[in-house]
Amino acid sequence: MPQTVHDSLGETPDEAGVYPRAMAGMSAEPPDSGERSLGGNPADTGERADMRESESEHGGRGEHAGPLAIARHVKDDGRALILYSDDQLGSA
Amino acid sequence: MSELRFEELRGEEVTYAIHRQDRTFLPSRDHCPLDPTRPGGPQTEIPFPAFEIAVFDNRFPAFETPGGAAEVVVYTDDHDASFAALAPERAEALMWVWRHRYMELGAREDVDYVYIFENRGVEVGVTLHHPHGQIYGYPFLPPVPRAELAADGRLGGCAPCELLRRELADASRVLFENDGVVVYLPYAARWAYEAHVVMRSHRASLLECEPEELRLLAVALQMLTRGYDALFDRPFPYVMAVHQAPTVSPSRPGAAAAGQGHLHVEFYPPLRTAEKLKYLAGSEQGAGAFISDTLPEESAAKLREAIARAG
Repeated sequence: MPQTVHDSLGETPDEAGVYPRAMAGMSAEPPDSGERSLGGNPADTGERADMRESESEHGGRGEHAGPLAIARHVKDDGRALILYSDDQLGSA
Repeated sequence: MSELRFEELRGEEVTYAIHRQDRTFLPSRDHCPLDPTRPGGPQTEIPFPAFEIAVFDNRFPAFETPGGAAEVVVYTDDHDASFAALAPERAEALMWVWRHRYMELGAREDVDYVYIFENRGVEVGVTLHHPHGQIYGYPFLPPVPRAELAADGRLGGCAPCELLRRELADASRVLFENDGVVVYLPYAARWAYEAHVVMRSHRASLLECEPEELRLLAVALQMLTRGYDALFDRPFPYVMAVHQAPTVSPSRPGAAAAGQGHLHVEFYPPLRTAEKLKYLAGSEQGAGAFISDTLPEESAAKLREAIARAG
């Protein structure tokens, strides 16, 4: 890894801040490129209560971000594609 | 894969993404890669005949795993729309998409700063006209958020909170406000019509916002951008920059910056009149010192009128 501005300021990991505590345990990896349509919900491993609540509001069917339904895909060249659709906000 | 080099004189990273030299540049309307893929039509980035909001890995990324991320956020399948022209529900949905991308990208070890932005107009270098924004997941903390965090130290606490207090007390540059958001031209605006959209309550990121605050943020962003378009009665070019807390993981250098910040959205419009652009020239580039031809208070008055006209 090249030198970063942090290195230049002599900052150390010991100065650890609080963030991303809410993200602890979440997958740090992009979707598996071997699938055409991917399930999985960051809320399953994350700590955001509202995400979990959102899922339960939809009966646990599929992945959601707040009021939005999430559909994950992988393009032919392996790049991730995520489609967000509005379940609750109206005619968006 | 891009290469980072540290420019010692300025103390800044420079990213070399030479594969971007060949990226798609202002294609014809019939070959827009951000359109949906219609039956019988050319294959696009989104292989579906319709969609609401789409996010995908940039084909020409400035950053990519394990050295960051670069995503494209397509606001709508309507090629001729704009952020300002989106249905209010779609703009609100976009806030949730931003929030979700911040959460996912910020969780990655190789992403120290999630930067959501939109370049609008050829004046700021846009290469695709279809309404869209981008997200960079920087593998380092960029200079601007670093400078904003340094301001916290100078002002003895959250700088945006203090500056918001000052702007509300002065009121001469406030464009409008709602229960969740205040929009103003800053006291020391660099661009003639620079505007800051600031969460009224201290929120480090979109993750800390209540659903109603996300809605109010979307309302404010659309009011401002509609006002921009009304100002000179033309599509108004701008850079829209969403500033949030860094997401440096505890194991990374600079982790102390993580979680520090105050969600706000800054707009940098290059127009100083209907036909004249502000260029970053000798003083701005060589000395880092902005010279402005306009006073923020006068610009604020004009922009307030435009916002009122736009409804």
